[in-house]
Amino acid sequence: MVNIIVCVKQVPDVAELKIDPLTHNVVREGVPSIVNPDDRIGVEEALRIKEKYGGRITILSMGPPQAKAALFECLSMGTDDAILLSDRTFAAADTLATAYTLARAIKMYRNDFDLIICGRRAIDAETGQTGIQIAEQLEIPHLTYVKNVQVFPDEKKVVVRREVEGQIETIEAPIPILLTVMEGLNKPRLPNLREIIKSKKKEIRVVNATELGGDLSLYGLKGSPTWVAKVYPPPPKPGGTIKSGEPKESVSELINILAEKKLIVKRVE
Amino acid sequence: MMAQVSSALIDIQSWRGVFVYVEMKDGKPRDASLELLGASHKLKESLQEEITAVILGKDVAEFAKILASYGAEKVIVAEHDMLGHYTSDAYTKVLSKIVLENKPSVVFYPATPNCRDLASKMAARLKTGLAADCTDLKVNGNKQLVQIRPDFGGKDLSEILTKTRPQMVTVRPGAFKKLQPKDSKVRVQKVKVDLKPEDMRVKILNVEKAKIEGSDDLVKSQIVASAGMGFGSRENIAIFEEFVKAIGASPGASRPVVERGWIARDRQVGQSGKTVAPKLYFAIGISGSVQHRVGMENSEFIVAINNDPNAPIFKFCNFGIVGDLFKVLPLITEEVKKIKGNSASS
Ligand SMILES: Cc1cc2nc3c(=O)[nH]c(=O)nc-3n(C[C@H](O)[C@H](O)[C@H](O)COP(=O)(O)OP(=O)(O)OC[C@H]3O[C@@H](n4cnc5c(N)ncnc54)[C@H](O)[C@@H]3O)c2cc1C
Ligand SMILES: Nc1ncnc2c1ncn2[C@@H]1O[C@H](COP(=O)(O)O)[C@@H](O)[C@H]1O
Repeated sequence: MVNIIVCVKQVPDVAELKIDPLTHNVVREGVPSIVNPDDRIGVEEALRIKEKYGGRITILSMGPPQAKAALFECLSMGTDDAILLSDRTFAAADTLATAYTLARAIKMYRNDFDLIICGRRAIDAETGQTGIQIAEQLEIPHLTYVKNVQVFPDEKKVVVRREVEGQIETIEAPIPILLTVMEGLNKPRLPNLREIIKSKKKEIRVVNATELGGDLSLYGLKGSPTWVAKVYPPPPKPGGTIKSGEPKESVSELINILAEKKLIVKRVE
Repeated sequence: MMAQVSSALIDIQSWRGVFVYVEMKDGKPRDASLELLGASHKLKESLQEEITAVILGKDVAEFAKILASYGAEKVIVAEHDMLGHYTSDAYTKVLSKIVLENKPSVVFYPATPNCRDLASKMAARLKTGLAADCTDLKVNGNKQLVQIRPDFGGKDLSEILTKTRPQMVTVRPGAFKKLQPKDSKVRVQKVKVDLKPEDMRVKILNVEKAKIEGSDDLVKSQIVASAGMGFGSRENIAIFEEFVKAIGASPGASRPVVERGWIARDRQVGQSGKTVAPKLYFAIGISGSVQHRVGMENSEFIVAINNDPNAPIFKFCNFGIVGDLFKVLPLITEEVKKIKGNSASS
């Protein structure tokens, strides 16, 4: 038996984000929300471990009520239950406050876990910090950039391959542990019809701040040591030269510019 | 579970100085760390704080001189056998002790994979703020450190401020320039490292090189040329290779090109690949999606070749040629060979 918690974030589909042509701000309205891609990989890995050894897979998320859609999707992949931490008090949390909130929920509701799986990063802010900070709050070890996982439930250990900058480390670590997983670990399954029907009966437990308890000043914006002072579109690049005439002419103009800028230099033998 | 420290309790004035965490790579201090010494000097005018390089590893004391020559005013060295290979446990234990003893106001880390791991754990242990993968830094009118980072794959920039100390920041490699090295005197402080086997909860069984060849050249190269789907087939990549060789560029590629195996996976440029900022970048048969753009837009001079005048790449290149790459590219290769070749015979 291996009990697993997968932390899942609902994110806007970044590829679909458009820029407002007048204000140059990112337009979020109408952009579809998806399960963060790395987190789907986490769900898939949890399912594969469960298929081998049994156990329970809990999906844990902090987000607005709409995030239920993401949790249903994970349930319909075949996971067992889901907890959504949802409250205005949790809003505008940075990674430390997010990790505090998720870690507290784990302590309160699922303290019998063997593994926690997070994505390497969420595609909206791409910090890649939250998982590591959950592990530190729970005082358990973690391993990042995981490309392969073997679980040995009887020996209470995992053997993990971690890939960093062209090096593969094989690491043995005790259970309980937190892993952050990335592209290339597996190919997530699509929800199947049977599981979709089953998932309708599964419950998503929604927990608010009062219920989660603790010191409310440690949640959300209040509990965040960092805050966003300003958001603005990147400065426009000065318009470049675009040539659409005869290729020969365009090329010779380019070559002149590059030579002038000393970007092509005569080879000194 | 550890309770958080309320940020109101932090006495900001008692935290002074800038720390630069120095990562070792291939047996020497990594360029991205030296760049952070450069960044610290840029901020020094407004921050007026001492710049300390902190280096952890097995035999690393000898590098203090190099760190000084790139701008460190003080170097803290922590050596131990158990620091020979990066682990979160050992490195966090040693570095957090150093930071708590010295109380710097800022700790900069390069935003490389292991440093992002370390910085996250450090910030959680010290219960302080961490801004991830910043591309710019400045000091505002209130003498606050402003940490600038791209959001949503570079569609927005946000400015982050930190209420707690030390302020921790990972900074994207290539975002700042190293100083010109010059011989400088430096104070070196060696710290006593107290590590026991029990401190390490995980055990490294083996380390091997991944099959795909390392492509450090891509990030370091002055000229990078990337191939996109416009090439149409693997065979056509030959004219790309010829161009790359002639101009002396490091080859890169867009994601679909890598996925089809036309060019090695570790040469992908973009959001899920490498970030490059060479002097000269060629985007050849590349549409210029935002995921590709974030990996190359800081290049000094961007040349685009595309047969679609409406391709997004033309909105952010410095020189664009609208045309068939199969006609344009061989012409460029030929011209480049002429320039480079002439001198060889003269
Ligand atoms: C989460 C996520 C992460 C991603 N990460 C990355 C990443 O790291 N890097 C990356 O590159 N992409 C990434 N992508 C993919 C990205 O969205 C684009 O699909 C990709 O960059 C497009 O590659 P391309 O420009 O080569 O191909 P296309 O978009 O198909 O463009 C091909 C271009 O070639 C031009 N062309 C065709 N024939 C010719 C010719 N004969 N002469 C001249 N021009 C010609 C066409 O006009 C077109 O503009 C990511 C996507 C997602 C969702
Ligand atoms: N609000 C959240 N709810 C659940 N999990 C989260 C949340 N934010 C981050 N995570 C987890 O932490 C990982 C890294 O996120 P980030 O640090 O934001 O890049 C994600 O892939 C998730 O597994």
